[in-house]
Amino acid sequence: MRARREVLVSRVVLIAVGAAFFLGSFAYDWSGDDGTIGAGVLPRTAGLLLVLVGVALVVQEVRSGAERDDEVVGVVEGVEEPDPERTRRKLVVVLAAMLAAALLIPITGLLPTLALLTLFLCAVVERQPLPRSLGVAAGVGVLGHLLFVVLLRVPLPYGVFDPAVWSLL
Amino acid sequence: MIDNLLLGFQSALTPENVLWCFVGVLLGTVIGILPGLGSATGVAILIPVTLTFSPLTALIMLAGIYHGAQFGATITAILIATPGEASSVISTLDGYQMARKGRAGPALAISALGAFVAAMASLVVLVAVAPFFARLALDFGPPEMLAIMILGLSTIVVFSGRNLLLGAAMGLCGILIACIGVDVGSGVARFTFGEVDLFGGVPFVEVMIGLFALGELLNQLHHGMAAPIRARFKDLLLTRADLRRAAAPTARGTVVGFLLGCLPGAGTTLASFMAYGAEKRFSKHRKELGKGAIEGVVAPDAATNAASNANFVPTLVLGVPGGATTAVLLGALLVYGIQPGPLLFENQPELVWGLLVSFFIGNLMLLVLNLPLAPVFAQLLRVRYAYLYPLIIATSLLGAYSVKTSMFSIWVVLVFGVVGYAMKRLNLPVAPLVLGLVIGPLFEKALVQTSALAGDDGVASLVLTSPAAVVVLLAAVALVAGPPIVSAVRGRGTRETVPTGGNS
Repeated sequence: MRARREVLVSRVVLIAVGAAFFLGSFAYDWSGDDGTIGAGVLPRTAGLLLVLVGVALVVQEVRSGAERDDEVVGVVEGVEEPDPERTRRKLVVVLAAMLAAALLIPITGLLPTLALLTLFLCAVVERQPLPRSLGVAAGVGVLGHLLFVVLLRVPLPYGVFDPAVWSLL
Repeated sequence: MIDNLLLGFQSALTPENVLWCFVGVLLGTVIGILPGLGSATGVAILIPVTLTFSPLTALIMLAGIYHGAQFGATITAILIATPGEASSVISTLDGYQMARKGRAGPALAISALGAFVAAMASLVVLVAVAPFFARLALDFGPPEMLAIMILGLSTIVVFSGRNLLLGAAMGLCGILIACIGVDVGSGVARFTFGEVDLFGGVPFVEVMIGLFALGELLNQLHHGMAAPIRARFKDLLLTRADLRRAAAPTARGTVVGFLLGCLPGAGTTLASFMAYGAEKRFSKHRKELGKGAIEGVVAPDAATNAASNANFVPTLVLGVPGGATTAVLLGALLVYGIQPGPLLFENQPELVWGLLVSFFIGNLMLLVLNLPLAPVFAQLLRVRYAYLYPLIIATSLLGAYSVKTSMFSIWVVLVFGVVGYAMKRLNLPVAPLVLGLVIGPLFEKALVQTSALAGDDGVASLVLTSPAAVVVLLAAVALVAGPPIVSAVRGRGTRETVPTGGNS
């Protein structure tokens, strides 16, 4: 019967979210000029409720905590758990790669960046053979172009690869 | 009703709609099979692709994905013990055990058959009852709609997981996120910090792609995958004894699934677990459940399909989503400029009946696809996740960008991807958040309209003078107060049988 730290942190985050909306709601009116519900009603009420529910969840966690881990609906045998350290490393790299890709898109364009991201994840993170990884990355670029640009006519950003940029030179 | 069905067949049976229905169920099956993708994810990712279609064609394809993903998710649940959907979690228990005993074929076949029978039966009832409910709902004004929104929010809380408080918290989070943007009543920009991109609110489709696609993908990287079990065509053959054993569980699962699916916010996950619970209580072979019993596969799958059809009752009739995937579909309807609700049946009969009839066509296609092709689909499981997840990331980001052709969409997907991942790791249920996000603005709109009608008398007085609203509110009170009372009377928590973190 002990509280789990990560669970407690998540409950505190919920309380913080509720408190932020509750306090922020005071910038808006409680009721309109004609007596109707104002813009502040829902965030103030829901924010306060979230704070209260969050506190109740903290109390619940402190009281029963890890005990609830025993509540399992069913167990499937034969599924192996991967190495947690390796998984954690991979997750950090994948998240960083996605973040870097989002920052690169305005410079290198959407499709080239996504193709590059795919190549990096397949070849570097997953250590798959380079020719196959290149094929998958090229597939992302080509299929993405055919589907979104040619078929759906979505104007994707091409960054420095935009012909309009080159025509200025 | 016959006229409506004829109209539906006319609308749904155009070559274009049949083609996209086929594409939808095929893609849905593949999406359901592929780890990390589910029906809500698939629908969310593919909404941008359908933006150039007519609304009916787009909805037929998206609904095809929804139905197809339910079938596909069961294939992975049975063959590699990895449920593609929260609703197929329960299929892993007996389905995977059947597969390990060399009965993967019959498990896949009985699942497809049971789901088909349940789908057809539930569709007949859906077609019969939906117009009746729509006529009933036509008399609903803001007070009644407000009561229905409260019922919807109550069901989210009750059916959100084993922890009622956690469901409530996530539902409230959804409502609060929905508060961001221009307020429906006063036109005031709330919590936008002057950011123009946020004036229209936190974009729904992008949030869905982040929560479901990226969140699930990151979570999937944490889990190892069981080695797939081979399924050959000749192994699919069912014995007469199998069919006899499956008949009653299919019927029970269909009834349980349909009834629960009609509730706003209940989703399909609850239905599958309740159907399994019913088998544990009523089946002649209940002692075999969990060890590879056919009842443990067919009853939840029948319930899931019946519920997925019944989910369209609140979605189309009231404009309140039945579950997470129908919440995404509801978002799609709004993107196409269609306002769901009782008037939809009057104003857009071709769309409604065309869509309902397409469910019949789609389910028939699924049976034809799934019975002989299940082993072929199972080969998709051999695609390495190392290649698959980069493709999911690229598709998600591409799809999100194309909704509004804005970089803001990409950032929303990334932020909610991390949020979704954290929620899954911490066992926080995603479905209540999604439903809160959808119902929040509808609730606020009904509240503003009711307060305008009520004037100085107050909202409560107006709502309590409407008999229909009072009945709905009583139902909401019964839903919230019922389980704790039953639990206290029985002396054990009924909530323990319901999983946390359902996606649908």
